[in-house]
Amino acid sequence: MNKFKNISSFLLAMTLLIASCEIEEIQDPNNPSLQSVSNNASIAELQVLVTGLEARHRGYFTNATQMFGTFGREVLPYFGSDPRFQNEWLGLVLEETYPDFFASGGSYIDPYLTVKQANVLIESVENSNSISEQQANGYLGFAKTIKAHQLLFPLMQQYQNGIRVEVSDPLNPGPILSYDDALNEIIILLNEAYDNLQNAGDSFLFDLTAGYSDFADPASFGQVNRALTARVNLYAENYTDALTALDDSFMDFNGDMSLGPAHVYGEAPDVNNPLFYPLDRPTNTILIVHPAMIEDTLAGDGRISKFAERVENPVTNSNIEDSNGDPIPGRYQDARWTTNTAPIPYIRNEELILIYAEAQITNDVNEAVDAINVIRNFWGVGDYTGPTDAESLENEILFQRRYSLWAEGGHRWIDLRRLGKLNDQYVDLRAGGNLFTQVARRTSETNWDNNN
Amino acid sequence: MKRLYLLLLVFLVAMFSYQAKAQSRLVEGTVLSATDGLPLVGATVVVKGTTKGTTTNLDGEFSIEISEPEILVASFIGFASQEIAVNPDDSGDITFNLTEDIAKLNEVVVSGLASTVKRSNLANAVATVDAEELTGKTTQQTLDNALYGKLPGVNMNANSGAPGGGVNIQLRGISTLGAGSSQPLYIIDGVYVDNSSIRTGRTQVSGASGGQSAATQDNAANRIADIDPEDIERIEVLKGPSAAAIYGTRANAGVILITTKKGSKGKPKIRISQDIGFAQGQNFVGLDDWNPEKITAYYGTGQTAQDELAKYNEALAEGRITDWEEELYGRTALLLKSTASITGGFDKTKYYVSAGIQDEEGIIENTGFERYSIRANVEQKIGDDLTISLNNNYVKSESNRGFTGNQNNTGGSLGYNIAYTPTYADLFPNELGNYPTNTYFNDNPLAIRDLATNNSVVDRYITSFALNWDIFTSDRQFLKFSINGGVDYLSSNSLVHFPEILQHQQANNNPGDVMWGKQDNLNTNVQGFLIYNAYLGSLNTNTQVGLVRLDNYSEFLLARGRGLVGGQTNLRWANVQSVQDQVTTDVTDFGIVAQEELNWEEKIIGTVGIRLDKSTLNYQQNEFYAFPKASVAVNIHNFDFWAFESVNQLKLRAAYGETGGLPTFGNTFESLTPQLVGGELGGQVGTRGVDPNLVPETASELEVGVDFALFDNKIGVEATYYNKEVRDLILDLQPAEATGILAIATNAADLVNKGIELTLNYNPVTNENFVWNGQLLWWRNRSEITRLDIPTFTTGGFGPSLGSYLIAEGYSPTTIVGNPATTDVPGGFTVYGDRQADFNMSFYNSFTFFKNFDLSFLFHWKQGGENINLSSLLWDDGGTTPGWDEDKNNNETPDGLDRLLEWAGGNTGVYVQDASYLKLRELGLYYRVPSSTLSSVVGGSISKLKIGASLNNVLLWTPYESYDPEVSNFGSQPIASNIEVSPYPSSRRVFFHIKFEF
Repeated sequence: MNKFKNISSFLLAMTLLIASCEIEEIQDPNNPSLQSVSNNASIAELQVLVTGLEARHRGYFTNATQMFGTFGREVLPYFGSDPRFQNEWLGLVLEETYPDFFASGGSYIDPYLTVKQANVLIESVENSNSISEQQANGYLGFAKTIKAHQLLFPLMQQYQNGIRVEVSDPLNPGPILSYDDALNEIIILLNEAYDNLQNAGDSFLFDLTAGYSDFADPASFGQVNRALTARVNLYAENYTDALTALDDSFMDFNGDMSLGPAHVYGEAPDVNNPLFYPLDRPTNTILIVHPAMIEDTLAGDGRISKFAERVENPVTNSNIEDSNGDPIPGRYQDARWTTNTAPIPYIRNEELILIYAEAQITNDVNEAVDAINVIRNFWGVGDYTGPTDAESLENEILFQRRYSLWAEGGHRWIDLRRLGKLNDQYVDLRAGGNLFTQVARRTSETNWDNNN
Repeated sequence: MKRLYLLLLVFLVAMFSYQAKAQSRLVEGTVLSATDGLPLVGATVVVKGTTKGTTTNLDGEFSIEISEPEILVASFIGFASQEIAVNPDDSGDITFNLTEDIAKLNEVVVSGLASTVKRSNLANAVATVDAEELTGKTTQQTLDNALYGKLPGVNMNANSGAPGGGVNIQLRGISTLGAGSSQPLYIIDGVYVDNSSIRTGRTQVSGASGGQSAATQDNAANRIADIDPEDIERIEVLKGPSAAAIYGTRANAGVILITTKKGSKGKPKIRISQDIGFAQGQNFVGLDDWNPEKITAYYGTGQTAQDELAKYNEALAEGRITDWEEELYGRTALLLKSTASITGGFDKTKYYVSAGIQDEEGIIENTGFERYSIRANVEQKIGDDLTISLNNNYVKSESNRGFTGNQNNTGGSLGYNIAYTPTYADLFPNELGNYPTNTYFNDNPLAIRDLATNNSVVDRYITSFALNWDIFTSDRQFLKFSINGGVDYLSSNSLVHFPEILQHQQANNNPGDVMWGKQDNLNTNVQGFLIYNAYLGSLNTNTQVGLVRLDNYSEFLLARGRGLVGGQTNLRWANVQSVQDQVTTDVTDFGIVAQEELNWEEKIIGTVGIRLDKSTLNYQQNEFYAFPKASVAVNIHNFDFWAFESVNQLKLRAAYGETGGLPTFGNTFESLTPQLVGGELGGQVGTRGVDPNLVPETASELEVGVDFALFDNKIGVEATYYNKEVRDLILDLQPAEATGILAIATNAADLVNKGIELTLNYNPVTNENFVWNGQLLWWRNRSEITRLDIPTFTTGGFGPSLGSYLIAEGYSPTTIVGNPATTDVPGGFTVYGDRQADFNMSFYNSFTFFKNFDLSFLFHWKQGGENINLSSLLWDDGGTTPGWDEDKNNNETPDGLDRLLEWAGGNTGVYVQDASYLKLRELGLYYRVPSSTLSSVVGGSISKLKIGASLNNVLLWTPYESYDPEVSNFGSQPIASNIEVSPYPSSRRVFFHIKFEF
């Protein structure tokens, strides 16, 4: 029967079709899965997470420098492409920020991405059978120190709104802690990390980038940990603890002011130094030095070399104008970086000396003045000759910090706020606008607490 | 599974029974068109209630054998069918006179993956467009453009006026909130074709990246633009799940089925056509003039103002005052299109071969679109039982879309650029060809226009095959096997280049930026079906079962070079070379389908079906998800009691169906992403978490309607109401950002679309000297989110202060919100409108007069719907809005500044504008040279000659304050469309046509 022959060949065809019906499951063809590194990671896999942590670690710096810097009027955002950089960051109309404030995620979300990375690294280290306990301490000390440093930035942004510190489970985050409690938790975390580092042997099992060339073993990285601890203790007004931490840090009155661990940058696919702008090129998108910085410079102060005049191409922005409505031309730009791959230190000897000076005000005035003079003399201005009452010294230190730590993650705004001086007596408001004390709590945080 | 099929097959075979042939008579006759009395070639004549039938020959004649009294039904595409009773005892020829079927009752429409049904028996409102409607009236650049206003329930929005396409098509409202595809599935001759927009990296090069939406701002065309509309015979649109259920897991956004032209028996017909035309920018804003008062108003009275005044006077003296819109958008663009086709067939072979070239300039210099297409469609019958067809299409399309839209810090958008550039700016190149520095923005727009490149080239090969095997046929039943499928291979190469000599590049450390993009995409799909049809008494049953499989594999590579040397674009001439992105996509879908159709004497027609699908895009990759459907149509006029002569059709219909929507590739993986830092490569933990309970989105739709035709089909009405509910919408649950996980795709919402679609066809006059046909369409859709398990949020655009969309329970997902904050609305922002229209309406009329003149026009009215017009914001900021320095409210502040300050003070609504429009989309006038004239002048070597002129986008009326209310900075978006940032202006197109047939 011909028909039956046909039918059997047809059946064969159908069978072939059916055979194709089991589908092969697809894994991510583009990336390694998270699971592969969080369960019994090899040393190589841990290295991938450590380097990833360094990569994430620098994310906050751009926004902190630009936005906090604008809040504190260290810098002015001549970013021509979006008027909100001026209108909103300078508070030209707004008196307060709002939830998910314009271009503010960089100093909130990015640090928390780093915290997440640190938490994954910590978990992977704890689940790994490839390393000894001593070696594990090295990873943990590094991860926790970086994590603590990162928590500081959302806290600085949010200030009295407070932040979450316990965030390892995405669907079960810890409560939002007050500013003081969060600072305290950060100090505890740093101390925990310091313990880990002291039990981590002589060397790390992992490699760090050139940003840590002077701090690449548990002992020297421990000095970084102490330096950060001193900074947080200063913010928490624990002056004695700050001084104790400084003792074990890399502070050196005779040393290089720029000594310190750094964020490193490179050409694509790496990230460029975010503060680098070629000198005096025509553009309408550039971070500009606040003119008061130039006007207030002390005679002979070597720190003026941080600024370069835009001789050919002063920049204007129609939203940055004086009270007469005339544009304020942007005449000076950042000149600290020779290339767009230059590393940026995130805590330096210079800051440690200034922390020392400030912490000594209530302890030993002479020590405070000595430390101030270390900074002044280094930059070519003579000894401090003003009154030595606490208020005067505080103002002098604030002034030195303004120039020494200009545009390094928004110190000016943070300093004025913690010392209760965030007002027009200390801030030049020639470009108008309001002074923000803090940034509104982000919608996702409010929503989470409202719905869970 | 195998066993099931075997059983089914045995069952079907057992049902066959031998049918004895009785005494018979050969009935002979002719099928004619009632309009002109000419024979209809290829008309179908069947014995009613059986599968027996034949087709008419070149003279419109047929013969068919009958053995007992029967009713013969003659039908032909475009004509209403006619029934004549015949008796074997009678003699004499019979003649069918078919009248034109303006309600398309006789049209054959898809009803399953392997079956079709006459429209008069269809339970859904399936919209169709034929070749004449699609391309017969004017010449459109792309297929999607040719659909405007021709389909009720189809909402279309062009993303910009850039050459090469880019249209957002949404069928019956919102079918996904962003996880699945918002664009309908396109199937050409059974091949699943790629309609993605391929990234070019323009976003990165021009700095446009950013905004709350992660969407690209490349403004790339969607790839249906590769299809030459001239090759299309007809388009069927399955708008909702009730019609599209049988397409299962990918059909939530609807399905657009495209059938290309086929050969027909007879001697070869050669058709050649040539279109020549031009395009001009339309609806220019008329950016503000500058004069000393204006300079004072904008710059104040200080030194800057003095400097500007000096520049103004210098420009005035040198005669350099320039209207930048005219300068940049003012080109009269040449449009050319040539097509040729040969169609014919022999006894067992039919063929259609065509070639087309379309070459269109854009209204901006150095932009344009070209497409080269060749096609061969061949159908071969082998023996009596087997038909094989093979359709092949190669296309090369190239577009240069220029630089418009958003940018940051580069000046890499002409429109953005001129928003800040006054008329007296000194920008023209000097005699050495050097472009002056633009002191008002990051770059000189003339330099961007003349020196920068944004090119993409697509080579594409689409081939489909079909095999139909009549396993068994008798008078009252048949069993068929059909297998079909095909391949869509697409290779895309793109180049975006800013040469190092550009002003903004010189401001970089590594001047010169080039982005090379490459994508290879391969879709293969195959389906096999068994179809069994039988008459059980007066009941016709059609049973089909089958399997379908779809595989998609693509490789995407975007490579970037910065710091270019020597004017080169080759990556090896870049100081810094990097891979911007590389993505491999690998997807397999598999499905099982079964469907049963019952037809009781064309009085009641019912269908039930189910499709079971699995896909590797799901979290549970080997789990089947079920998509059922059921429908019923009742032809009341076919019942014996029906006695209203003037109402020749009355049908009530209801249909229900479900379809699916799949997660985006990659959203079910938790992975590390690579990042280089200081020479070391690290892995960063991704920001996305995974929900192990994730299932596909499911849409279910109930559609009810009534169709009727009056006065011998002179008037046809189709009215449809639908309720389309999309459940388990995949949305990103946003954990507290502090956790470092920013999104977890989860089934978090339901939404409902309800809508009405009305079609009125009319044919009031048909006589020798005057034929008038028309169509009036009206449709509306309302969407509402009915469940939201995650917190209310805003999405799309550049954040609420610049206008964003609200996703909140009880609100339309396309609700536009912005500042100021308010507690009246969930989410805490103020509502400013909705981007969806209140209603759409289109009005088409065609007239044939003096026998040989054809005139047609198509109006399209979109009422309501708002846009977020950020161009206006830029113009106000740059002082270039028309009337910027007027002071209508007498507050001594220029109006432009007033608006800007009001916005800055927290009123986003300043830049949310009504985007209603009325467009005369198509207007055509043709003259068909009478055959008598042709034979006397050219001696009959040309059998047909048609000449004409047409326009598209002829007229536009809108309150919207920019070029075109159809706009989308972020491309085709489910939600975040209708946001404008200095787009490529749309253009008015004028054509002259000549068409020959030999």
